[in-house]
Amino acid sequence: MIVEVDPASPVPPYEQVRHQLATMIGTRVLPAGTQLPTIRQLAADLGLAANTVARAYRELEAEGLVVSRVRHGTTVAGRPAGLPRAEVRRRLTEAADAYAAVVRQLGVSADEAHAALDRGLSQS
Amino acid sequence: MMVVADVVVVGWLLVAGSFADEPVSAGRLAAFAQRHGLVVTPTNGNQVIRYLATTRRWRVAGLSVGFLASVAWALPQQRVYVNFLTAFAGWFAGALVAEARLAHLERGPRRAASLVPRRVDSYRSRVVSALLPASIGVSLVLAVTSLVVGTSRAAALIWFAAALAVLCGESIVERRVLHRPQPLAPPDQLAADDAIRSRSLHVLAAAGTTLVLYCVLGQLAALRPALAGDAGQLVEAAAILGVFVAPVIGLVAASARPRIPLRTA
Repeated sequence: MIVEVDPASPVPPYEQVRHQLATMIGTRVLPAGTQLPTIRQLAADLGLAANTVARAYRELEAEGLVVSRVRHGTTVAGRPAGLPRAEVRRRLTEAADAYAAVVRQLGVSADEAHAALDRGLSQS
Repeated sequence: MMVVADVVVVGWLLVAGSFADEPVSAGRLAAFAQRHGLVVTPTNGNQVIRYLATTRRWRVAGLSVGFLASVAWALPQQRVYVNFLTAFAGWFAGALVAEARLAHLERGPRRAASLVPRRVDSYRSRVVSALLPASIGVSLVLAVTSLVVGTSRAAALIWFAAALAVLCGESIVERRVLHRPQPLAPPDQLAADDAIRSRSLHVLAAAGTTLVLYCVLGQLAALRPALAGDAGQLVEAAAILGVFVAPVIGLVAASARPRIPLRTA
């Protein structure tokens, strides 16, 4: 699990850090409950100002991806915390519709589609 | 008397100077590698040698300052005297300075870092970490006892303040060791860097604990006159025993099995 910053990139360093962490959390490379390094540690290791990393962490927290607690540090949130239940249902429906469209396009049976979904869920 | 003092001081400076400048031996490097299960390579070997040389230079410098201060302190009394505690406190101060001045791994062209948090527990067992706070606890109890008993209050509080100063110095440098930058580097260099941090944290805890225990012995000596009978004898026995036990505790803590943090790709 490595985070990298390109000083020559037009993307600000805080956004590079935020984007990489968000991707790792989204793809579960960083599973729920994983403790992230302290702001000071990550800033020192990357050669960035502490405020830069602090901003990336703040934005991740605002997105509900991480939770920061005094004396406990920053950990990956258990699930998209902060998202209202209706929003969760809406996103789930969207994903299900997209999956159903792929199933129809491939012409596979409902049983096969269910089995593939079960496999996918059991792997995550 | 001055001639004897001059001979002692010059002799010490010659011995300490030559020892501090001596190249790190292959045996010392091998011992470090064995203790930490480190595979020495041409690159990380130099890293470890730099660490061993820097820490030895500063520790010897600190020890020398403590030694000379002790000799200078005794000179007005027309005697040549070396106080072990002063010399050891100098050594500890030198160890703190060495850790604070140690260079970190160089950043390569890629600015990358691991997401594994560095914690004291990853490098040192909780038992070793608990020794210094426990010693401070004993010192606090003795300071309070001296206040209650009402004897040598000033001495007891000065020893307690010295113990707190050791704790503060150790804590500040400990945080510095943990937060010393560790940019992404080849695995052998990262392994050496982790081994160095582990060694530093063990030495700081062990030396800090020993120093605080000597402060506790000072408190016991101050408390002794106020206690009569069995209690007095018990305190006296503890003070005598402590002179030998304190460094043993320090040595055991310093040589405790090191931990190396788990790294995931």
